[in-house]
Amino acid sequence: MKTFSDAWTIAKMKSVPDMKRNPLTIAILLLLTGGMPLTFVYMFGGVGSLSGGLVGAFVSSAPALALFASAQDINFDNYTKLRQIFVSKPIRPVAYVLGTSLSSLIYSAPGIVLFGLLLLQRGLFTPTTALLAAGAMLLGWVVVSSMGFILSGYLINASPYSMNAIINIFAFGMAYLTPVYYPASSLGAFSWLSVLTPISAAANIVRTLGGLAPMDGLTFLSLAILVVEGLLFTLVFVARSRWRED
Amino acid sequence: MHEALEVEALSKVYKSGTQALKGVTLKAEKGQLLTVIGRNGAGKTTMVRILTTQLEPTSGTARIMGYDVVNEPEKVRPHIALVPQEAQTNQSMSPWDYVFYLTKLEGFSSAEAKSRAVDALGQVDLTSLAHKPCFALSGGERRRAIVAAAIASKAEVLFLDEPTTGLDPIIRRQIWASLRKMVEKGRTIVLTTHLMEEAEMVSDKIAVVDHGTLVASGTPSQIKGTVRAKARVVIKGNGGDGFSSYGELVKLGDREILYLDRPETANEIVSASLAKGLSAEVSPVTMEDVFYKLLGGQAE
Repeated sequence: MKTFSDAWTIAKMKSVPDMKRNPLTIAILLLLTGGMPLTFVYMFGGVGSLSGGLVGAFVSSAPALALFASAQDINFDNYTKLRQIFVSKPIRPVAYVLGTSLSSLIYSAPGIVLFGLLLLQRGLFTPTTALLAAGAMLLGWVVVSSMGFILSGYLINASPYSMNAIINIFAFGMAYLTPVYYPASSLGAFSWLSVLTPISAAANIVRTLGGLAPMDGLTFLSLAILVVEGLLFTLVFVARSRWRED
Repeated sequence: MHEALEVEALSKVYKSGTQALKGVTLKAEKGQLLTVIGRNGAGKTTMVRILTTQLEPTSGTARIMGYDVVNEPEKVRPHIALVPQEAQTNQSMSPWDYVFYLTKLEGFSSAEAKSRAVDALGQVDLTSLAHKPCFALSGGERRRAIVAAAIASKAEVLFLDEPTTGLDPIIRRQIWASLRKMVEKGRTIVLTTHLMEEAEMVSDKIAVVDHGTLVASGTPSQIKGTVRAKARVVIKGNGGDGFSSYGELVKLGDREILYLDRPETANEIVSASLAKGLSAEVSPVTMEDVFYKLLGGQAE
């Protein structure tokens, strides 16, 4: 129980003061996950593609930020020595990671709410499918967060610049290159590739729930892989998480 | 009955091959302020990082409040708090945010954490700035917020790694007063510092570390007693060479420090200096002099 309450305290510590005093960073996030990609979706796909684009914005906001946070927060906490203070407190490393991930969820909440409301306003979801869509988005966030922290754990001895660069390449690649803002069917015979990365897999599920894609093998495969990845990465992460250095 | 801190033959060799600690043995009783002094790279921070369960030692043992830092880190952590060397605050946080959230992580309710934060911020004179974001504060004010977080903690053993670096003398003394108050209440403090006046003023016990080895330990007066010289004469202006028969002469550019084994010779030296047109000032040896002599430093 203390692990969860510690995680919640860390999440608030890492998000609330920043959001309160630097509200413009929320605008930057909205531009990165919504404004910019939706502009391109509209320009190249027309009005008809906007619903699919909104699904992408809704699904990618939290996971993309979680991935950035996994590198930036670890680097920043090392630099400010906050990590040393956390280690010397009765906090489990899992609470630290969970808190850092949760902070990305709090930070991206305005975007999730905005894009979710826009999807509801377009009449794509019933209350039940909206809840399921939120669940799929959260599952994607869990997988990406665990992946990010595992990756950061391997890169902990790399320079902060390399760590940030590698994680950013992953985040941008997963959010913008894979079928998140555009349908998996655009990949033709390679549409199955969309199940491999968590954000596009979550997008496949949300598109199906919103009636933008048929419920087919790809949907079930996306769900199955997300669940397996979620369990696997979380277990690997928990097993690897430790405070002390050699 | 266990000590607050018991370190036995502690050694640390980093993967790079650097040997940071070489068999250090040290104790601090409950309610004692132990100051570890040493040159840069002497091994002070490595010792603090091992004792605060962040770093594995290569050999030796260390116990905090009777718990082994290697085998029982979960039992050690509720008893300790740390101010790391060169720690910084998040620029968006206010001192209050910083202290409140870190205090809450010790398991306090929000109301308790708030009350402890208010009290600790008052002790470091940050009450009026408590809700200002750190980007609007000076470096010293931000540093005080970090010290306040350790003061607000319920830990019985506090590790403060150069907590007053960069602070002005007035605030430094306020922090010394807070440290002594905590010691009076039974808390144990392990402090590292480069400020010899600080070490002398606040410590119950001083440990001098050099190249990973414990060179001396004891009360400030015991440490001072480890060197033969009891007084010093600072001679300004070149020309003190003739006095080297009275004791060790250390040249600092156009000034010289003459360490006297027999303080009664001081008047003789002052008179002779004045006769040569030099100015001379007599004082007891300081902790800095002792540190210098213990570590065999050479100014020129």
